[in-house]
Amino acid sequence: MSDTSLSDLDPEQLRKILSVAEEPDARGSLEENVSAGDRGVFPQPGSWIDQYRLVEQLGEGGMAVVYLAEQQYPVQRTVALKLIKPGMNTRRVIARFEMERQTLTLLNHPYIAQIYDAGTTKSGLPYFVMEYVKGLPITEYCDQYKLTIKQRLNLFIQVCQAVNHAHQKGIIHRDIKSSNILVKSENDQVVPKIIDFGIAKAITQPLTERTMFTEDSQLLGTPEYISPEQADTSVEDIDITSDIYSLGVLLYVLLTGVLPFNAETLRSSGIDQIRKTICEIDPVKPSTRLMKLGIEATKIAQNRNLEIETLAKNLRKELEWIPLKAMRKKREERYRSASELSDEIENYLKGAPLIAGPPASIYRAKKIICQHKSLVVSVAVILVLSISAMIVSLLFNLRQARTLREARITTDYFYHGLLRPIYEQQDREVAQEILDYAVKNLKREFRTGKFKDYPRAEAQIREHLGHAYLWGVKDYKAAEIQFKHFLRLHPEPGHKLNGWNALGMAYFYQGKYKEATAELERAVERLRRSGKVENWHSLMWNNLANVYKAQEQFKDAEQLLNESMKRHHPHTVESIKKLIELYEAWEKPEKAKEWRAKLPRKKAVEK
Amino acid sequence: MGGDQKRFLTTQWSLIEAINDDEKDGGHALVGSLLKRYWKPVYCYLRRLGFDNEKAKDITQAFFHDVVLGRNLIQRADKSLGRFRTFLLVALKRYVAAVRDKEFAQKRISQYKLVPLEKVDESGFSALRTELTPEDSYQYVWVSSLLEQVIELVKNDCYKDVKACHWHLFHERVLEPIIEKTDLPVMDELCSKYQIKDRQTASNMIVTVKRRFRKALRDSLRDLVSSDEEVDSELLEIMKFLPRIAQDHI
Repeated sequence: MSDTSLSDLDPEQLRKILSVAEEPDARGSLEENVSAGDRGVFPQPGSWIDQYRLVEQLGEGGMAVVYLAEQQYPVQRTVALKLIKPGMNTRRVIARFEMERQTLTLLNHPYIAQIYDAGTTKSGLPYFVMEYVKGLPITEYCDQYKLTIKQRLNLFIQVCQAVNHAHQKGIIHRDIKSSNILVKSENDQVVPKIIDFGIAKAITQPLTERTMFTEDSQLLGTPEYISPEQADTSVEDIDITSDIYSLGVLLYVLLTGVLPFNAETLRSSGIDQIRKTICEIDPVKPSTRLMKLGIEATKIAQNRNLEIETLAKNLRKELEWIPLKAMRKKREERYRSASELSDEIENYLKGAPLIAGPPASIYRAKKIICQHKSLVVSVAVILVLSISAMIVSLLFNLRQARTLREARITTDYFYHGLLRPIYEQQDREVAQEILDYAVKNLKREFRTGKFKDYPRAEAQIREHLGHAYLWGVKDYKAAEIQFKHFLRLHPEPGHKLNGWNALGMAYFYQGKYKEATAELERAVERLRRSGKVENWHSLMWNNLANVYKAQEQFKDAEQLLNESMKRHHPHTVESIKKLIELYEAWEKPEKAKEWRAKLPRKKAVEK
Repeated sequence: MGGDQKRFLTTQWSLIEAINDDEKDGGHALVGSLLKRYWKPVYCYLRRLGFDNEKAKDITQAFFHDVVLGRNLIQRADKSLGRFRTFLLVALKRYVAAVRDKEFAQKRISQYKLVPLEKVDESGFSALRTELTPEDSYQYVWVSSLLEQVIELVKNDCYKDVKACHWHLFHERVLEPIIEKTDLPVMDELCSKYQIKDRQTASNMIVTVKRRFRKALRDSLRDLVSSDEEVDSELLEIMKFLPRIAQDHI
């Protein structure tokens, strides 16, 4: 006889053991496809599925078609009927649903749409019947009615409360996303309804090429919302923190109007890249992501009744820490429950301290120092020594050109040898910490007057700090400050060109197009007047063209790029690429094609 | 269909035929296979029917001797109808009707010892502590026996393929927390205990056993029905059955 006796187990325990066989596994699946002949057999409005008469098709997604239907018996009511497309084992889907059915009856929350029934059509497709909710996906609703950040956060709190209710009953949604949270107005109240609770588990399949894409290479599901552990098929246990992650993504979208990972890039890559992105790449800070959107950011801000700068400022000031904490790669670092997340939002609205720490908080600094202790200490020491050496040299040998060169070499080393490798190869946030630390300490040096008579030295340092902020840690506001100092301090007009260009770019990335245009036009105009022509000057033309393009001044951008090619080099690859990008944005595909043909075929040669 | 039918016939029903053919040599090895699967449901059905522990044990022994080893089961069996366990239950009900004749019971029962029931402790059957009907109790214990058998198959399979470590990992991480109602053990600790290099490897090992578990479950059910589709039906029925009886379970 077996040495494992199960006779004494209760039904729930037996069900759990049985469900081990039903869990999707990581390496292949026993799922059977419904035959291809079943494709395109979706019933038309007017037809019946069991006791449901289909009224109209409400929508179609990658996995299902949703109908408005009328139930005739045992009760008459309007319902939504979700018919799962071919590609799944019907019995298994229904069996999984049956396992959940009992628990689903425990869900009784005004913000959760009820699931009434599940069954199989005559052609063998599984279907689910649920409460019909006449509403818009939450992000669409918020944008359409231009809800403010505060209104959005209050709505999000309601969503968290509903999710928390389900979690307390032991039910994980597994597919929280905007289209699964419908919002409607009811008696002057905005009410969210979460749909599909219990369905995701039934239709969840392992994340493989087959399950991610249809035969027509259409992407199934919404990879942008799934947690790293859902994407990583080696992880067997999915818990409530997966829903917390998805809520974090949702909050990110509600705040910024865009997904944390560029959907187009994510979807155009293969399954491994999708998994790698979700599992390994940290999402960009909402404020940074917003500022990089260009003209789109203005519209996003308008949808929130805000100016772009105000929105970015709001985000930077604490708010953005919340979605970032919810989306941590390690689940133990996320909020522990939906109610904790909801409390955090309430704290933010009340102005109370948050659980999520700011990147520069004592907690964060301590953590970074613990993690990278030797790195931080050594960089700090070298930084201090370099600057001290430079100051001493300048003080004693200012007039010697050789010493000036040495000072330049020292600061260059500080930038290229230390800071750049840190932000390129290590942790960007470590670099941010170090930069902030350096600026804070240097401020003291600048104020006490050590640099008073040596503006060039200070300018040099400011320039490097600016570049590190701009290109390294992408803190554009901080970069702007440093470049402004640089321009104020540096006496040589030649160097100001670099300053205008860099400051222009810092403005550009913040979406301050007017200011960016002014700085870059100043640089370009100075070069035009000077008559000097060097190939690297094309950089200024390209940057200004980018700024024009972002403001949809396509004609100006085209003229500028053509001028640059004539002036600097007829066929620089960079300029051609810029022209192609311009024509694509301008919706002139023939022109883009024409210029693409002029690009050197480097890959073909290499092959 | 011919192949399916053949396979079907080589399993449950033909096992009974083989038992009868082999009766002259005792037939105990073959009957052991059936007993293993069905004595617990039979015993629990009898207990829920109201027989006391000792009487239920005796009738279980006698039922298997008379009905399974005797020719009357085969004579009455109609292979085209229903599942074997349903058929067995019908046979059991008829047998019980006969056993109700006290004299018959006294005379026949105590001499058979096909099933080692001496140490059976009724407290080991949760189905006996509930308000389940005898039929539901029979079905419920059949499900638990089926899963016991599947688990044993997977375990033996792992040992045979020198995957004992896979088995232990699966048992501790997946089964034990369900059976003992304990928290999931920490994967890193399991890795260290079984000297597995990392969590990824351990996860893969568990997935390997899960797949074997799934296959063993389906194979075991496949032995009881005539087509792959019916395996799904069986599973679906079990899935519906367990939540239903959970309501009656204390």
